[in-house]
Amino acid sequence: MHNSTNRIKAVFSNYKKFINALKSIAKIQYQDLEVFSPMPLHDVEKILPQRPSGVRWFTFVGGIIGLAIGFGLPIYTVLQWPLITGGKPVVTIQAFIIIAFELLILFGAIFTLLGLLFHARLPRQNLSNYDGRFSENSFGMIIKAGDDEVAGITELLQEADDLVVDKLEMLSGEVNL
Amino acid sequence: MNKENYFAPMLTADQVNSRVIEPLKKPGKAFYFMIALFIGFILIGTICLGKQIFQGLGVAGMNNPVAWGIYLTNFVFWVGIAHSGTLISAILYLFRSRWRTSVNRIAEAMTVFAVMMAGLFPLIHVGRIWFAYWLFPYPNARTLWVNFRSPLNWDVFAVSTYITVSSLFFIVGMIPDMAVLRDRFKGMRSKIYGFFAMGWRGTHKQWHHYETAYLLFAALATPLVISVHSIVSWDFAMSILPGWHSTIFAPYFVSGAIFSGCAMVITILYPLRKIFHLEDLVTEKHFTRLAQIMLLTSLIVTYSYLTEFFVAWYSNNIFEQESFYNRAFGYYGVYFFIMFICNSILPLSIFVKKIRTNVKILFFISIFVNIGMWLERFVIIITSLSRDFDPYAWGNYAPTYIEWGIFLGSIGGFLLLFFFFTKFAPVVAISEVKGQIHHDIQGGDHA
Repeated sequence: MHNSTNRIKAVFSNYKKFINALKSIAKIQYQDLEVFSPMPLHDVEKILPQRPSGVRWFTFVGGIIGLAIGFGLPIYTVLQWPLITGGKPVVTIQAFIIIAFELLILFGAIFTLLGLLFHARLPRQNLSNYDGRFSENSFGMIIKAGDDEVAGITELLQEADDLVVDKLEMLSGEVNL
Repeated sequence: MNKENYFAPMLTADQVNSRVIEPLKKPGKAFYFMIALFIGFILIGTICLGKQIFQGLGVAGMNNPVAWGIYLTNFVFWVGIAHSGTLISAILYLFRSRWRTSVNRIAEAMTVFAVMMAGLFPLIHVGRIWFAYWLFPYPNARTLWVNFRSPLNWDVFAVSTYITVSSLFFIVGMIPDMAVLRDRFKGMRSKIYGFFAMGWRGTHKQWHHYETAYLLFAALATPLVISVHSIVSWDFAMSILPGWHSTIFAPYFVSGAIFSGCAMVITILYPLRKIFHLEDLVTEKHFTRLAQIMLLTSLIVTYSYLTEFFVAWYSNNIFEQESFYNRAFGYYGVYFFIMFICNSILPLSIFVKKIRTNVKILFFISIFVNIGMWLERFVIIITSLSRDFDPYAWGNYAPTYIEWGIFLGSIGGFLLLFFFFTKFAPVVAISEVKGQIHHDIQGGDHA
């Protein structure tokens, strides 16, 4: 039997209605739910709680790598030519702290960028289901649903709190055989 | 939390897009005139630099004992300007200052362009610019590496890290706004903005990771900004020269940098706001806030000036005492007093509420602060070098037209980059302002 997957797109211009609809959708636990907004919304974070972002691990690893290089490189290079100058030790940790500090920040920042790109799935080419209004002042969601669920979700979207959805679209989703 | 509204009343999120996108439309005649003017400045700078490259560093006024002239003054000046951008975008972000959203983009752009200009000057200063890569650590033919104990080498690491991190911060901060522009424009422009938006869609998952990344960037940039100018100050403080060899240099330079940076933000923001009609987004309150930071840092800088003199007197060291007497009353004394008036006396007027809330007066004060802060670096570098320990080695310095020309070129380069930025990128962080307005209206707690 064909169990096709549909995507329902709802676009809202009223924030309160959007949040109400989102609450009722989230109640029936839709995993395949994407919420769009022109700015970060903390109400959405409350309704759809997420684990702390994995970007911080990238930053941490980057920082450690930078720190290691920042100490390793100067220590390695001075030992290549261990010449005592000014009566000071060859491995001068105090001076190398500065190099290590700067490289910690540098690698931490570069890895943060990589972490963001990895976790936010950027860069991406496919914007087919996206709506330009999501970056203007509209809020939206795309809900993945099987054939038998479509009617229920549509009803839920339209009925929740006297909701008027500005636009409700059926997007032909992938068809899973 | 301060619940004061920083935007014009009745400004809605819808209007933010149009307000910010309007400046990106076809520019007028004045724009082209300014572009031509700045390219002219750059040409003058390039010709002067060319003369220096072909004829040697002798065309500049530097000589014994003043081997660090206004190239290094300009370097410290531009690095200083660069500091307010990170202050406003990172430090104030960590402090959750709500007013930063209207001005952070401009300040970040200023940071990136100012560091670019700053990075040029050490290269110009060393003369043989084509050997500039010697600064970076790589094993040469004799497996000799750079000297990691030298403050000048710390500077290489600090400034190159700063230019990288502030650029990343700037570019990452623009990703959601680039998506806005991608969706508003058509054709080629949409494609170019789309490239920088990298396929941003604004899903809740993306925002979640984006906010974490932004916070981490801010957390990394905050210690960085303080370290960079500390290291710049150690270029001087690590030497044994009277007038340079001082432990207060790091905090003194950092506060001076933020002081000059905020002044430059006001100097640039004032005309920009008028030209692009951003009065609703950038209100008097933003200027007042910037002025308050200026006042605070001005007081710290003034305190440092006075402390330096006190320590010189109290040390009972004749070299220190002579060095500071010479700074105020010697050959370059007049510059010291101009500097003191611009940086310490004039900003005191910000204490008066009428002045603090008057954008036009603040603009004029900010120009004097810019001049004063340039002179501060001039005074520190040149007076200290010109009167060393040994009277036999004393000597005066005056910049030649080559050095002024290159300085003019850097101003042209900075302003040209800034003008292009205002035409091709959103000058106000759209998504952040929208988020701010959204929370003001919804009354949501976003702390």
